[in-house]
Amino acid sequence: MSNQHVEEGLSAPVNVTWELTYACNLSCVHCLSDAGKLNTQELTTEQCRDVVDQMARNRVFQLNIGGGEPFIRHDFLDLMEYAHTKGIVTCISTNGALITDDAADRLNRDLVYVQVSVDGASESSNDTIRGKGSFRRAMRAIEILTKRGVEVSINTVLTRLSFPELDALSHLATDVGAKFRVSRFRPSGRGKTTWKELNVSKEQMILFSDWLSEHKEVSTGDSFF
Amino acid sequence: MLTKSVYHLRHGVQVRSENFGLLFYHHAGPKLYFVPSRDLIDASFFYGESTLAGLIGAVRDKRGWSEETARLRILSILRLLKSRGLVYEQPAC
Repeated sequence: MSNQHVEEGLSAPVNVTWELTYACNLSCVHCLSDAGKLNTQELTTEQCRDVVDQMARNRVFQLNIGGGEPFIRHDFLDLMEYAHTKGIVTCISTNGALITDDAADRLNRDLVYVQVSVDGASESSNDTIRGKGSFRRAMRAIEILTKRGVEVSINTVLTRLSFPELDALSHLATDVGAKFRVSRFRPSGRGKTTWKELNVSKEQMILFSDWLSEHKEVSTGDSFF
Repeated sequence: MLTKSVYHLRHGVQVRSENFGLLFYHHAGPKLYFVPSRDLIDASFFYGESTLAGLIGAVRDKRGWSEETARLRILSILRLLKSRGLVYEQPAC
């Protein structure tokens, strides 16, 4: 963000990205957090509530929640409700597998935005990257959320595997009533191990740039949302 | 614009005070609006029940301006905020 006021310094962040847990029910080959097992050092519910209190006191507008898979935490919905009572907008990045009707009913659609990770436009292409059954569960989650009026976006990490499917992914997002966002593949976590194999070539990156120019509705960026 | 009016934030809009003035956030986007109003209007004005008349009076006293100057400066900012769809005006009860 290039802005004189930002460069001079704001009193607090506009948004905060919080990897709430490293626990995850999937094991995606490109995961930048190397998520999987629960980290025993993770914050307790009370500590998390204190973090939310600090954000509210400083008038942070937006909280971007990632992980790991945030819905895996038993207190996740309580924490979201707590943030919402403070007026903080929450943007949740999830694989969607744990989103049930009951969970979706507890989300305040005025204050919550959900980004569901999908890395292929079909079950076979997506599940190669994200694991068996993940595509079907992500689509089910999107259906549950959009039915309740929650704003949803599909997020795809740009790799050699997802690159050929960008058009199909964009159409898929439109078909299911979601926005589409493409994020950068980073050599971090398991992405460090798979970097050489999955990172797009220079030529593909140039083609991607052209593709983006023709698809102004598609979001990008390193931060969530 | 009635001096007995109060101003509230539109649905989905938040605001906080910064050194340069007011920072508005609207998730529906564009997300951020930077309003270089310095200390003329505190963000709490949009969360409370202070009237426009009260705000004008406070600015007049703080800056040593005439009532008319304070009114014109405040109204120009509020008009901008209304035109951007960030706030709405409501007659005070």
